[in-house]
Amino acid sequence: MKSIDRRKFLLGASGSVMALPWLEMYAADPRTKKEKEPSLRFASFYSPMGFVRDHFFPGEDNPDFLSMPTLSPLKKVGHKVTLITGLSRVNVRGVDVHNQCSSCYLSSADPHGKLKSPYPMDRTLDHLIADQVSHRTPIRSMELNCNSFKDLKESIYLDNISWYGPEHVATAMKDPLQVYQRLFKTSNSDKDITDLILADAANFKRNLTHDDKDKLDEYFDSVREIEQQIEKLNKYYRVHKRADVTEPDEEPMTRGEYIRLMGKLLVVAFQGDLTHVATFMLAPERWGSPQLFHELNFSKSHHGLTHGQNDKSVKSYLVQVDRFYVELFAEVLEQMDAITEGEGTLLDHSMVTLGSGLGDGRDHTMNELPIIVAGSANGKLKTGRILNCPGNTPLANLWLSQAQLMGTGMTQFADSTGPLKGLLV
Amino acid sequence: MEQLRPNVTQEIIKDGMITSLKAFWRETFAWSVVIPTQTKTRKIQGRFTKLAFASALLFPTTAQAENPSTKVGDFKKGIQPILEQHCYDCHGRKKTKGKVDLTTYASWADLEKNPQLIEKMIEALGKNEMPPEEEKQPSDKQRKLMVLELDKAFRNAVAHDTPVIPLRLRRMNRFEYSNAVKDLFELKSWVYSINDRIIRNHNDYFRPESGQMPKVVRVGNRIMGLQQLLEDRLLGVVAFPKDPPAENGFNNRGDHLSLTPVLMESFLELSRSIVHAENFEENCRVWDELFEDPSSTKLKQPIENIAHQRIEKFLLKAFKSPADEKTLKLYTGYFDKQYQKSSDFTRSMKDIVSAALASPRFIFVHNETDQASPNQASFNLATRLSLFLWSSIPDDELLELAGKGRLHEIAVLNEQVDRMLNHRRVKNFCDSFAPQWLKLNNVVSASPNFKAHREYYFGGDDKISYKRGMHMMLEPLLNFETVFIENRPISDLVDSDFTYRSHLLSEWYQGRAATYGINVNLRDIEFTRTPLNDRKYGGVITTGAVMVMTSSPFRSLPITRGAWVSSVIFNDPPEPPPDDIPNLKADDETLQREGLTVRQKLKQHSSDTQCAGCHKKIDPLGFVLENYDLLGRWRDDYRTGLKVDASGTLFGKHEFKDIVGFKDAVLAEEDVFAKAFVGHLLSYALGRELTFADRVAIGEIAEASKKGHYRMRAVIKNIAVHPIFTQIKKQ
Repeated sequence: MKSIDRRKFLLGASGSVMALPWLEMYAADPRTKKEKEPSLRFASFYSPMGFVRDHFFPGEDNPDFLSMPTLSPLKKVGHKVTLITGLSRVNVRGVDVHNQCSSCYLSSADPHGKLKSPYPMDRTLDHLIADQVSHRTPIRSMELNCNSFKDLKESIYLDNISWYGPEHVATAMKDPLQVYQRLFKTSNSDKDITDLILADAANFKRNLTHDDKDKLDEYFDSVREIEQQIEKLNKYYRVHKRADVTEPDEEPMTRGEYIRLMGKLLVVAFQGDLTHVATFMLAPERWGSPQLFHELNFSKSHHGLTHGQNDKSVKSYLVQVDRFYVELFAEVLEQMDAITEGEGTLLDHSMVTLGSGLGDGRDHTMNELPIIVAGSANGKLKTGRILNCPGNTPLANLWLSQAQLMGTGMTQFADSTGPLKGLLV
Repeated sequence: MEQLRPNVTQEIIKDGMITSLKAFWRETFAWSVVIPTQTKTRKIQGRFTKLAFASALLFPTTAQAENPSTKVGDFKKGIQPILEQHCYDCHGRKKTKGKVDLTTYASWADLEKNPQLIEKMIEALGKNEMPPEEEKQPSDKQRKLMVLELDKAFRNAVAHDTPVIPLRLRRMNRFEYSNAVKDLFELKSWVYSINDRIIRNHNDYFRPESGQMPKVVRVGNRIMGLQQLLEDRLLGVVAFPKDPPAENGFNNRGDHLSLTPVLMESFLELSRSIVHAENFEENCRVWDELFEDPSSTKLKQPIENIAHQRIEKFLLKAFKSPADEKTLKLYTGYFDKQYQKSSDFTRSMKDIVSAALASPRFIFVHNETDQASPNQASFNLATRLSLFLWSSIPDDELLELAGKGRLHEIAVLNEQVDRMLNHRRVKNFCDSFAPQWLKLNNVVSASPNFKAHREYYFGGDDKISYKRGMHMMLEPLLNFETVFIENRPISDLVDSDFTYRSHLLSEWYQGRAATYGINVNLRDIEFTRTPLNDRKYGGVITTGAVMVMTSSPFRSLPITRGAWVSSVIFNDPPEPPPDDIPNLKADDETLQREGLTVRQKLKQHSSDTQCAGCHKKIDPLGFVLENYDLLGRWRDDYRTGLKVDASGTLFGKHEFKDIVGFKDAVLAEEDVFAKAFVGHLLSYALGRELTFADRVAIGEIAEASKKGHYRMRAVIKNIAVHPIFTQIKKQ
């Protein structure tokens, strides 16, 4: 059984024998004797403020996007990557652009619709997908964020791409130790206490106004999800060994080490089927503070650089930042591609997107967004090429396609005009 | 009586019953068409003590009492000819600038349907933003008339709406949660060490009851190294992440404080780790009355009864209102079960307490409906008051008064607000409100270029050194606390004859950049009250902290400074910039080559018509600070040798040559500053974003605080007793 081979790999160096896979979906169907299709993992990476365009997009007649300075780090997995051009979003005028870039990126909600928040926000793609696939894994979804700024001075919108709904942020994990514990720690839920507080909460709810009752549902949902997670993780670790990852300590890390560690934890989570849905912010949108890029040997405000890029020396810093983030993204893809699962690799059974909410950081345009999709989604995506879409194709079209591939059965996503043409094989 | 427009200020309370003042007047003085003036109010005091006292105390000098008329003049004869002459061309007839078409409003009734527009008009006219400078201006008399009339129309317009916006359920933020736990168990230590508090208080200087800030305070800044974090705290207790501030707002905003599985996990973990911390018992002042097994002494009643009484008392405090029978049974029943199982009283009690800490009744700030408990409205008010003034849960006294329904008595409410403002816990208010209002966290990330401005860094070598900004941050905070403790006029925040400085800071301002070795005391710094006779300094605006955080690593940023002044001092944050801002090349080298000052350079940029509108507003507010370099030191000339030009005009009417003139201008517009400050405070107090409809309340609160020049505690108190905060609804 191939699925067991796959599991062996999971065990890493220790290589102990493992009991039957916890998830049945890899088992061969007893009637057809055919192996089921590997379950698809979904991840969406976000890099703030766009990329320097002439270092990223190869231009119309040049198919060799891997020769572009910013994209060349993807070479090793280049044949499993698609560069998509022509995708756009529409922003609400008169309110802050950067806030919309990040907080509206994954919902791409209609800017002309009725707004329940200052920006057109809605339940984001990752959660719409998790609604459908979370029964497969112990952890519903993971929201990771590599914001290492010490001055938490900027708004919640700039720091989050994953939202349960308007104004209801899906709190991201920034601390690698917290992510580690989420993946590997099991605990026993105290059923009595949970029952007690839920009964208390139900009592409490009776005497709230209508709107507050809705707000209190956040409490019920959260407690229930934690309960489920504990139960599922316990069940999972009764049959699975923990992956071979060292517990993160308090040692200071460079910017690169930090993002790399978070990336590794994501790969482990996907590899072990601990979750199938994740978002990953490489850095927050417009943070008005300088940031130390240890590996690049300078401290600069990424946002400041994007606005100064008409200046040659400024631009030279900026393209280094761009490339730095793409390199780290590429490392994640390489790790995934090195993990064999059945006849393919983990990357083949995934759909990993890297994108930004701005087409051009200089003038805040939201058309021609830089978008890369990696992994073939179980062979369904045509990779190793550029997909040129007609100008102003809604980004929501890509999100719709991805939602469909993940099995949501959706036919419309925000302001989509249909699934993205030419994306599939 | 028609002149007495129904308004939130006209409701008062009689023995816990809400009565409409309008109805009251009608019933009591059917003959009366006069407005209740101060004298009238006093006259009736003998007969209706409580009511009269109420209105006198609550709204001693509200706009309502002094200027209650909302009867507008004839639209066609009064305001329309002025609109015709000065506004219609651009707003309707020839163009529709800003998408505003004034010609569609032919009567007050029309205009009152659009209070947002009225508010915009008042702002634009009041601050001389409209008509534009280059156009023919209305006379002062005309302008005044317009503003007065529009203000009345605005009041009429919002009277149709309900001005009391219900306060929503919200989670406590990290700072509030830690204070609540500390006060709940009367901890000797902190719960956890967090960076939400900036000032570390090392000589117990904060004594609001004394009305006097000590001459010397010993403080630390939490930023200054790990040693500031080595405080007494519960061992093994980990805080959840800090809540981000709202844009131009505070981190107690209900719409931002949601609950998610990741946070709920933290709350569950905290509920256990707090009571099980190994040093919990030694730090818990209520240990004996809550956790200690009572069976060591001779019991007069079953131990369960004792436990149940303790639980009831504890839940009252933790849940901020009495637990109903059903809830109480849940918790006492659980205790009985645990105790029968383990025979361990303390352990069973810890289980109960732990569960209560995970209950939504503890985690959320709530306003339950009247059905929840008798006097629920009073309990809700107690919670709002304590969250506003203490960033924490109500104490026993508030709960007791709420339980008797007495907190809604105006005299009692006043007394309690005074008590709270004199209580040491009010430090939490200063710790939370002041740095957020001033956006002081920006100092943390301000990084003047290390090579070019080595003098900004002190101590150690190139690898380990400290920023002078860490001292600078404390100066405006201590000034704020002084204004609070000494109940000074809030104008002292703009212009004061004193400040608090460390030795290092004093030298800095005098241009002596002493270097200090690595052994300099970073933890416990002496700040001394320093009299100022040079008005270049004094108040918060001109502090080094503000100058440093509104500069780039290489130069001062006048536009950023202007935006800061506009947002913080006038509560008028500029609109976000357009998408395609041209790159302003204003580095030293370019300026030197072109022989321009930053100001001249910016002028080229902001004469662009698209940018002109906003820049006209914010630029003078920034240029006036150009005499302070990127490190907050005074300069007459730029390094290029060109002279600094700090002159400008405030609201199109107050010309100034320099910062001193500017301070005079702000003081001349004291009412505008006061309203802006009230707006910040009110948003903080209510935990929500303000809407245009709140303009009425802001006006009333400011008006009530005007006497004595807006003294800090009066302003705060007038918010705490205003119906918008007390939520006393119309019948």
